Amino acid sequence: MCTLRPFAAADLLKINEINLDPLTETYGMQFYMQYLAHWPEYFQIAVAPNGDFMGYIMGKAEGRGSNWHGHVTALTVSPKYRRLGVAAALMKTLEDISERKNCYFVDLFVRVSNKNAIAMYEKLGYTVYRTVLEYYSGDPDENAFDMRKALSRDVEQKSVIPVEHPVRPEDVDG
Amino acid sequence: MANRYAGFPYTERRVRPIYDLLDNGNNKKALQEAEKVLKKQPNLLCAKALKCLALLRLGRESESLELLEVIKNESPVDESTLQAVTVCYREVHQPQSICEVYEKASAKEPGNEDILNNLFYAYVRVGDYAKQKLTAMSLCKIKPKNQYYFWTFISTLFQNVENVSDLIQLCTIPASRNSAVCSFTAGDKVKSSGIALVHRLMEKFVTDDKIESEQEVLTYILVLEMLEKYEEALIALNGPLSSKLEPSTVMNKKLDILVKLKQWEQVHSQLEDMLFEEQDCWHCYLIYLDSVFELGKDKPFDVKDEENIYVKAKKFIDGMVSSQKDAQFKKRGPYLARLEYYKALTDQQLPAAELLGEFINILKEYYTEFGAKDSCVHDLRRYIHLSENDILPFLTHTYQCLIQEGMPSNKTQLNLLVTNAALCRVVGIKSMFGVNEKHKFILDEINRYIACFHLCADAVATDPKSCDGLALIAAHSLFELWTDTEESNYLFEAIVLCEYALSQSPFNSQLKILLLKFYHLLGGSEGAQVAYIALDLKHMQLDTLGYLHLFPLISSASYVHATHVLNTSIKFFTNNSKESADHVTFAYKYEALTKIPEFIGIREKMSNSTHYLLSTTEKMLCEMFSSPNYGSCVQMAKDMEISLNLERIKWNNLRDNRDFSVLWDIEAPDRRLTEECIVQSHNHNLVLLRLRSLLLHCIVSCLNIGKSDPPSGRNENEAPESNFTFSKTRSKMMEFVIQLEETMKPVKNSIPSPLSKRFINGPPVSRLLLMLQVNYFDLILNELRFLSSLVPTEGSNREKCQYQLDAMILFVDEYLRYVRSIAGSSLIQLRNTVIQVCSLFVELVCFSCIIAGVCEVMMTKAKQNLVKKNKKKKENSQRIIDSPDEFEWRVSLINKFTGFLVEVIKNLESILKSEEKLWSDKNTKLCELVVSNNVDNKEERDKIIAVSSTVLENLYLSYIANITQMSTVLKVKLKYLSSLKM
Repeated sequence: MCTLRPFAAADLLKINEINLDPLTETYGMQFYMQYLAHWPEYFQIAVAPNGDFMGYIMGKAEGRGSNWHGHVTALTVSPKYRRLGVAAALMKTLEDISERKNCYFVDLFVRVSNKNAIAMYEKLGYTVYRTVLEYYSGDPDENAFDMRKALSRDVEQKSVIPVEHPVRPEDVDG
Repeated sequence: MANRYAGFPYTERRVRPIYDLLDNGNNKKALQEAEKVLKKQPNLLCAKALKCLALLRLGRESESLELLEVIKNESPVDESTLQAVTVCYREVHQPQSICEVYEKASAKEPGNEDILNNLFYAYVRVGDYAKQKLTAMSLCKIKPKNQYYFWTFISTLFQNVENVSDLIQLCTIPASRNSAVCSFTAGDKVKSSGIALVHRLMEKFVTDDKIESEQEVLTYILVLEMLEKYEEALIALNGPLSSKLEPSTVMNKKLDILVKLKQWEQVHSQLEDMLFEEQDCWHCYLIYLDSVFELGKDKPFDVKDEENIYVKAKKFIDGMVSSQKDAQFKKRGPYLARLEYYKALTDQQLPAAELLGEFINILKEYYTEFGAKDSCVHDLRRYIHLSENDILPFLTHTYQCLIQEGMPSNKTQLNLLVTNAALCRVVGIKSMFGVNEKHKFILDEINRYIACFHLCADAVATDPKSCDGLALIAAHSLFELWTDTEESNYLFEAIVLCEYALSQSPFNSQLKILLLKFYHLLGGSEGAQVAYIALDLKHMQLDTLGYLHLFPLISSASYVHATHVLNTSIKFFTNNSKESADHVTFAYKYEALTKIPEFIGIREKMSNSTHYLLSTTEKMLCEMFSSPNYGSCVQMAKDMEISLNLERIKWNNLRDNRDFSVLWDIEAPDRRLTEECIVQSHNHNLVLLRLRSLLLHCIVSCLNIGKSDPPSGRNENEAPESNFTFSKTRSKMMEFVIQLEETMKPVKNSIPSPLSKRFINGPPVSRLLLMLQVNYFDLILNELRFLSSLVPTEGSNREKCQYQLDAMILFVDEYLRYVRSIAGSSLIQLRNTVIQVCSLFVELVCFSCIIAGVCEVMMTKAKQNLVKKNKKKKENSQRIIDSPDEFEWRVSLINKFTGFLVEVIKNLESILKSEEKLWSDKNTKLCELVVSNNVDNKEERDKIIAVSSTVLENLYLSYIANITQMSTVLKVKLKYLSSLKM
């Protein structure tokens, strides 16, 4: 139960409650503005009936040839509105847009420790494609799973065949 | 080194090392390298431009600007020079100059697409829509591509509207429901004909099938909407153009337009289809209900008539609800829609229960499905007060859902318990009880919180824990009890509880925000600082949430932390104000055409943020006050010149960007923050900003008096032309003094009323009120007038000087009497006030020292002048210090003034000393636990008691730290005063 609408620049001043979540990064203005300018359709926010912001998704489309894909840069839901399927709804919009853009797959990075998120992505049809070593800087650095879901264009589901060996962040393109 | 650059062409090989040095922040070396290159090739403009950049970064701004001017006049056209110059002008905040540079370049090479592109962006940065349009048209001529045509279109549109940010509403999809009547107006006829022209040009694009992208379609629709050509917009949305849009965009846009056309039948049927597809689409329900009421207007409300629109709507929504019954993952949409329908009927004064049945049953049905979700209380608070009679039975029902007596045995039970407790709070059921009962309720909450730990033991550390809800409710209730009783123990208890809960859930940000607030309310800046750091606020959060910490820190003389927060905030603001112009250029570059108004809107919002301007003013005042002597004050003023200018503040456009919604809203209706309170607090801040910025201008203008030269006698003819004569600087200062007095008058006549403390998410109290209460600005005005009467000009007057000095003495006597009356008390809230009152006093001392410094410099100059004159024995017709007498009375009054300041400082020091002693005495117990010392679980009780002593120590530490910081400032000022030699 929410209104999904494109994220507006002024919303940046009102997403504080959501962004105070420990796993949600607050980026510099420039980062958000670049996404809003470049991929406005991929930046969506869910608004609750009482006007609360429930969560948002930020993404982009990139890559060449069979690597042309949708990417989830950030997905977050306020603790007040968890377990309601908000994240799934947001992911669906991103997948739909990627389908329309003729992407081969959608991918995302997630902390290997973030069990709940991984479980949710799995439920939505995502599988671990590869491990990216020390992708998240911190103390200590943490590995990421690069998770993927093939879209209809990738009929043979080639894009999601897992890669055995982990890669370094610098080897991840895009 | 040369080898490294061997592959590059000659010029580039020369300048590349300069780039590298600049990139590495080695500005000094970069400058040397640039100079070396310029020796060999004095006309290499790129090297010159890089030299400018190095100079800028070395803080040599004026040299850099001079050289930039030279480069500009040479009209460079090569990319690297132009880019370097652009960077320089951006850093010095002169976007207009970038336009000029590219104008000249383009004049030289009119066919150069790159230059024109950059010229276009340069105009975007300054918001010159007319020139944007012309440049885009030139681009179209060089290369007829859609992007340039649409740049022309959109620039023309912006040129023809009053405020570009008014277009935001039109560009939002789905439109917000309340803005059916759009605030946008095309303005005068000339303007609407401009828009009509764009329309005609675009029409041609459409008929020629030249529209390519989604954003181009949306821009076309925008133009149609601006001209209120809704039918045409509908045709476009039903035609081939719609294939370029997301299907949801098409549906929403159509819907918006149908609403504008008031075609409610169509709206209604389209929404039934949409809702059937997407049962959770909230805004669809809202418009659906709007359509029901529009269609039902003037028709009888007959619940028995199956064909009645209201009855049909009920059936529709009921059908949606029943379709959820068997779903594995139930959607709350239909359930909430029914509650919303009930609300809408009630708002229209129609008998909702007759149609929809008992309200309580609708509530119960929702609760059965979603009672265990965290969102339950936030969903229901919108509706729960609709039928007051049903509240108690409903709460009873939620209580009965907990089934067994005692503590929950699984997570669902726990979630239901938290919802029940939160609903009780939202309803305000417990507010009618007495203090003892409230104690009991809070104790129960804490006991249950502790007893439920084990149910959340498996949660990932970073995930919210359900049991934390109980601790939060207890903390909110303790705050409430504090506002009712003004008994500080409750606030202390709330801090202890939050610290204790945070030790169990170190990632809970609600607890951190509460701690930040509560600590400040008790003057515990050290604890607040820890909570603030843990919140890790950055970027735009410094603007929206900075208010929670910054000004409370300044109020309680926590200078070290305040300076740190000020520095990071201002760094963000300065960068953002430079970068935000570039953000707008992104939107053009990537053709996010309908996003441009938003980009311009947020830029305006942030550059006119009251918090930003208050922070900047406060930082400059802080620096002035802590400057060791006159000379460094003058230097400071010079550095500040560009950053604050009263004329630059757009007083009518200042924005309140503070976010008050970070704390979860679990308050009863009479304790929910009101819009009125927010506006009131913003108004306090506006007055404060006005007064503080005037104070800053007064300081800078009185420093200029010190810079003035007494007329030398020799250059009598030249003197009047200089801006730094005593008479000119004095009258400039008096202009600001009068402005300050004028601003004070209305404020004094009707003192702004204090903010209500009862809102937990309310803004902190502004310093303005305490300043007014202690007549802070009176002493400042006294001293400025004292200085004014002292300056050796025709306006000087010994009696007036003496009068002002007497007034100062009276003022300070009164102030000290007040401080003494509240100092030494064992009441914690008074101790916090003592610190705040003393910190204002310390500021006044700092200000006085600036005045004393100006007096000294002025008299030293006058003395030299006097000596010279005596030597020359030349008569001077001007009224300056021309006799030892004139000199003597001034020196004697200044000596009295500094002597008086020394006394003031000593008095204040002794007060602070005894306060410090009081606080160092560990035997006086400031606060104690009154509720959680009775917690059932002994082990946890001991932990809480241990936390309480840490918190208490932290409070003592804060007080002592703040007093020490004030004493240190006073010591420095005392030393400074004794160094002044008259």
